[in-house]
Amino acid sequence: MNEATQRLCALASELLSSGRVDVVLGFERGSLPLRSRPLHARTPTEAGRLVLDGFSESNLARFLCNLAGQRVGIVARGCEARSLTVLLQEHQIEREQVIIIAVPCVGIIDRRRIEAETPATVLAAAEVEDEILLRTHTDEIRLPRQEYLCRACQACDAPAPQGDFTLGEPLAHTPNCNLADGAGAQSPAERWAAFATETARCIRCYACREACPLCYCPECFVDHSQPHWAPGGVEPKGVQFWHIIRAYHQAGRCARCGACERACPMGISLVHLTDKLNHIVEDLFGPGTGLELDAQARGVAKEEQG
Amino acid sequence: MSAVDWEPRLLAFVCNWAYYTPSERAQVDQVAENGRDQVVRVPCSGRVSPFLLLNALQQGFDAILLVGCEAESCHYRDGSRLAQRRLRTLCQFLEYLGVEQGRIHLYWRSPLPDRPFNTLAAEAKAAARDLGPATVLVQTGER
Amino acid sequence: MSATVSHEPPPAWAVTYEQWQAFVDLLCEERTVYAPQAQNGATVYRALAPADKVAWGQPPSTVSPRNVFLPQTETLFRYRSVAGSMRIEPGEAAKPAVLLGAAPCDLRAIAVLDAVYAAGQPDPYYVARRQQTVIIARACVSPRPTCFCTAMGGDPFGSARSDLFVTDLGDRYLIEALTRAGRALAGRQRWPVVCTAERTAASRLAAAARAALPPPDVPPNLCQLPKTLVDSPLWHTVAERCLGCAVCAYVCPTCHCFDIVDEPGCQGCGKRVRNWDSCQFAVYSLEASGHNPRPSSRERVRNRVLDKLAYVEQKTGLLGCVGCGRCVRACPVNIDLREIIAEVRHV
Repeated sequence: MNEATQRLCALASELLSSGRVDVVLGFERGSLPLRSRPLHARTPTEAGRLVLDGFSESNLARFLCNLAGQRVGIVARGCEARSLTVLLQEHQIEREQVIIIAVPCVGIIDRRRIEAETPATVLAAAEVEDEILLRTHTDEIRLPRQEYLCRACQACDAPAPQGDFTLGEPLAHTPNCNLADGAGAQSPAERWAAFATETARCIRCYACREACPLCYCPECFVDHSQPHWAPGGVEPKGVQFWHIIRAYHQAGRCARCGACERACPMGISLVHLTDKLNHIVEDLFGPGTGLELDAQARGVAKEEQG
Repeated sequence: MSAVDWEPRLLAFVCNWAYYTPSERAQVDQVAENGRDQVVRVPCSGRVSPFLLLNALQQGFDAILLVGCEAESCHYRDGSRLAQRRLRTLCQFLEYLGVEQGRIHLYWRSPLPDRPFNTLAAEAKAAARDLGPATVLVQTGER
Repeated sequence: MSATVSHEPPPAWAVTYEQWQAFVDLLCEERTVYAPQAQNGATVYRALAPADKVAWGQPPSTVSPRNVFLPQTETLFRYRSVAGSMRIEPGEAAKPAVLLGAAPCDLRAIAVLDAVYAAGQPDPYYVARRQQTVIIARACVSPRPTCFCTAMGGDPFGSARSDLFVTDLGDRYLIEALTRAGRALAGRQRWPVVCTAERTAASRLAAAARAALPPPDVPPNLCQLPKTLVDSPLWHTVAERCLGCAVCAYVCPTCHCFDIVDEPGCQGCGKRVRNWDSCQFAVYSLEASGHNPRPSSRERVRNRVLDKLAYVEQKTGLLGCVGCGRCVRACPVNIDLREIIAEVRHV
């Protein structure tokens, strides 16, 4: 266990045993290689399972709305912090309810790309400095970590938030790609074909919606039946309506974390849609649409700079 | 309908407070008389939700026109402003997705007499005529 | 397993990959062939078009082949108002088809679907497709680490319910015909009959595959549903992480819930459509009164797991989970059914 993880476990343990929080939201090792999964740690023992790694694909802020009435310590990378800002602005959570444990993020690893490029079964995976180590039945494969980050992480410009506790050194990341790239050069017909083809794989599982911290409506528009705007099922009419309006409902709010496309079992690219909408809103109505960490989210009681 | 005879189908959402004098109303009603084009009067442009617009595209309308009032003269104070925010965002997004520029027309009318409604309708249809029949989002079997 | 006691091995042939491809091409001319195809990293069963490549990679697929018998979206009929009365046109009739490349776990899942849809009051749509579809299954020579079919009473080389069973020997295919339909299909091909060495090679591969999988360990008969299990805090722990999406249900080969909707089209016409549904959605059990008997994630997760381990067995005598591991691979938050099953034993 490295130093950063040790500090996190110690802090989480302290917050729980002192009663300052009821639960610490973080990640623990998953049951599969290349996977770490959300953990609701409620005891110091459980807090000992917390990890900080590049296999943590979910956006933890998604679980906050289910924890109403509980005090939550949330491990916050850039993804979580940006979502938190919007949740606070939209009054879905109270500032006093959360203790933000800010951690700098070095990016989430694109496991689907690794699995697609590795014909042999990956039995185990680890991050060692700037490499990813994969073990198969016959081989050990080393990959340069920087080249296997998720697209949303490559485009991230705010990976290191501030919080009530800030663990680790602040770090900056220059986005090396633009999510909504390339579309400008295409004709309308090409753009439509790209969208229609990409979304044609959709199986309406709504993993994208459920993984998103900002899709918190008690009744989603697809479940509204009088009238039934977006037919269920996999015919293009309903699928296209679903993706267009879901992205549209994120306009100006989306944290660009990419949890939606990582949750998708069919590997559909989604972040570029909401990223484009964020840009549209910024162009039309000016900046400050909720993606900057404002003073409110920074934490009133800034304590230990880890 | 052969390619030569094809006429674009227009769907117009018209706010009740725009084009409300008897002669203007008659003009608006006249547009729908041909049986192909349709006019939907709404109490305020703010009533026009993205669902309605998407649904219209899916039903195969070749031109969509929305007429509301300028934000300062909205009878319901905020309706037009909200409509402008929503629909301008949506239309730019739809353009990004591949809906051609010129399919959807948003017009926010000032209270002073200006462009007659049938001019707006004619322009919308002319733009659609240049683009050809709508294909993006159109569901086969809906036409 | 066949009801008749017969120790004769089924008729078998050994064919080259080219011979096999020619056979598949011929099938494509006569029937709609549903085969696993790669779609941006996911493997799904789709109708093969002439230029399509079959994704013969490691089984099982990402999404199960359930859609071959139960399409995710199916038009049951169309209706049209004509001169004051309603005219009904049935939806597309089932056509001769092939399910190519089903895994042995999928075959056991089809038994569950048969018990639900083809027994009692048979579902005519399912039955028509089932009767018109030839099943060509493929042995799992190299199961995935997430496979646990053996733990649920299955076998990576289990061929029951297939018409033809294909084993990849590495340099050729061993094809066995299990049914009259399979024998008819194969008989036309004049393939070389299998020799002893090839059969031995297949047996060795079967033993190796079984050795790579967990030991048989079917969960205890849970049909009595002890109260300690129903009230266990296990469900709350799992539910905290569960997103409430339908990934697990939609990739699962035995899930079979559906929703029926009428979709209006132009004035006075429309269609009645059946879509997959999932008990993991909150709205699934939401009643018109507003009451929801499964109000939170805890009840819904519990329902899903107990359905797989108990309720299906109560109704059909067959275990609801075939251990394919698709849900384990696909769950966005890495909820692992194998871990839950292990916990269930301890409760």
